[in-house]
Amino acid sequence: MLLQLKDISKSLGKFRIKDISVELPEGYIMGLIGPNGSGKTSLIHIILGLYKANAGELLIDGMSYEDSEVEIRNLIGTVLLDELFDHSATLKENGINYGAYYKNFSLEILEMYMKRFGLDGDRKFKKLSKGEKLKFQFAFALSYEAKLLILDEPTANFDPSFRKEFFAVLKEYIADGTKSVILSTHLTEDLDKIADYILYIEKGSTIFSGDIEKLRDTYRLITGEKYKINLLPKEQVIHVEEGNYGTRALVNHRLRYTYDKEVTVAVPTLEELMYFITKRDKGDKRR
Amino acid sequence: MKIVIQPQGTLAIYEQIVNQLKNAIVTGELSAGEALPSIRALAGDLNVSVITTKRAYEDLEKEGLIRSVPGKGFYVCEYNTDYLMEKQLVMLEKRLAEVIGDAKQAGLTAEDIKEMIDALYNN
Amino acid sequence: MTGRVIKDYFAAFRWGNFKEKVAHFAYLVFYFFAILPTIVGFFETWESALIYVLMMIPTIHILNSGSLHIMKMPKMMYMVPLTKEMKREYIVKSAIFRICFCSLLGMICTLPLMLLGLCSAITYVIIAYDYVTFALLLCGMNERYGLEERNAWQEARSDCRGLIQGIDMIITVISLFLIACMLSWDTNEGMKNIYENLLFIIPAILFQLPLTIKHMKYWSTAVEKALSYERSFDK
Repeated sequence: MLLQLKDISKSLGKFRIKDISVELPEGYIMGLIGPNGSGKTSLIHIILGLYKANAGELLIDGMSYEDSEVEIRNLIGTVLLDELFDHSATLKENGINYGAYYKNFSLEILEMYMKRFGLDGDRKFKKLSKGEKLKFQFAFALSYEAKLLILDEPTANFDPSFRKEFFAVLKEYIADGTKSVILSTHLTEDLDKIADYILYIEKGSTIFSGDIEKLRDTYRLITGEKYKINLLPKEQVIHVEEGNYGTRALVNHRLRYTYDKEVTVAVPTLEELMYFITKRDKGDKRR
Repeated sequence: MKIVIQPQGTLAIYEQIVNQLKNAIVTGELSAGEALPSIRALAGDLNVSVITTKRAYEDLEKEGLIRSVPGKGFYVCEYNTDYLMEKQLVMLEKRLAEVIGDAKQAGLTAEDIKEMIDALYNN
Repeated sequence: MTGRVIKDYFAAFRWGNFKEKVAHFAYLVFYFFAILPTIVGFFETWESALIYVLMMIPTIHILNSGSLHIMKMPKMMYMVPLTKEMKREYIVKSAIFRICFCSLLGMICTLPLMLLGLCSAITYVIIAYDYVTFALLLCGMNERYGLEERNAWQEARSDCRGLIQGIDMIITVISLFLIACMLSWDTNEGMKNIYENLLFIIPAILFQLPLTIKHMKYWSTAVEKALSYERSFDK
């Protein structure tokens, strides 16, 4: 197991991260999803060992930060939204300077990825655009044989063509079955095709944690006429939305449960799932 | 062997993979003892999550259609074609029954339905 | 590690960082007023103008350095594999570097005043001493509340730590004012005698020495805090 979180809790001012448990084996991609301000970045800071959890256990490749921080940091590659590198140094200098701290850093690999991402090693870091800065961080994260990539919202700043390339690189990265990726994002479209595990958090609490097939078994999106939707068992319905051309409802699905023949039953995409659950919670607040 | 995934289909993606692999086995496109593509390779080719193809293979393994050889991959089992065929028939019957039920509600007679089927079959 | 420390020290001087700390520069107004006695005759004699410029350069630098460099590492250094000892080395070296750099800058900039005969040797020694304490008070063990502390303060809804740092600020403003008085005395009314010099030495020692010692006592705690990203967090 590459990453294990067990009942991680942390208070950050008024905000609290509550009892988050996750397991991510080698060779998979985990999507960390949730609306803005749900605690994704804070959770990533906990996984990176920058914040220390108040309670719970965090193991990376079976090691804890208390005992083997240096070993763990050699295993982790990160892309954060912060601008972490020297602004006045060139990309190559940055790579060499910071790479020197890593056991397995390879300048050739870094230059290979920089070329692939269209980055010029002789340019100064400060001259790059926001997206290019993230590309460079990504290339650097790949350059020292890290086993766990932790990526915080990088895709929003990538143009569509690079987004494709980005996901291709992630797939190559996990292809040999020894490395894993944690990708936090609120753009879930791409995750439907690539994520193996999903951790869905909202206001610091877990909504769902597990593999994406289990997620697809757990929820169904029902479309049909209003009175048919109203006949659905109340305890299963999560949120109903009435539209001009039929009513849609997100329900908790039970295995082998048969729905009325006149409604359409579909597996919701992550986006639809998030939309309905966020709506439900807003509704709760109003009441 | 060809597998086509419909992203917005009513069937879950893993079910689509299971069904199409089953068909390939029934029609003899995949013969006994033949090696299947690896979980990761298939996921890459179909552009779906690894966990999805893994689940499809596990389902097929549970049904006894394929078996995994640790460290090597998945292989098609020796199977009973007749038994499989029968299972396919049962499934088709069930789906047809659904269609006929809908047709009855729409007020079609048995003749209408037969006509429709003939027209579609010859198409 | 020393190279990294020096690079990071100068790398912190960039516009993006200044923007975040813009409120701190309100203090510049106090410093400006503190230095007023030297500005008398700024446009009349070149000596006054020179004193003013040479005093302002290191003061502004120390103030900048004090708001940009606090007891913590750049975020990247918390993420690369460093042992605790390496982190401690970085933190200690960077604190020592900025104290030395800032006080040396103060001493070097004011040295021409003595060489040109604008102030007496004893005045220069007091000025040099003042710059060392400035560097210690304003950018030596300068630390902000980390996340943990901030939570505690939020609950208590009090901010007396900010008050203490404010006192440091006031002390430095007062001593800057005294320096300015000394210099204008030396240039405009002739060199002070030994008793008149005591007028400035005693308050300097009375005010600054206890505070400096208080800061030195806090040294090891500040270093320990800076080892953790969370506890040295600043925003």
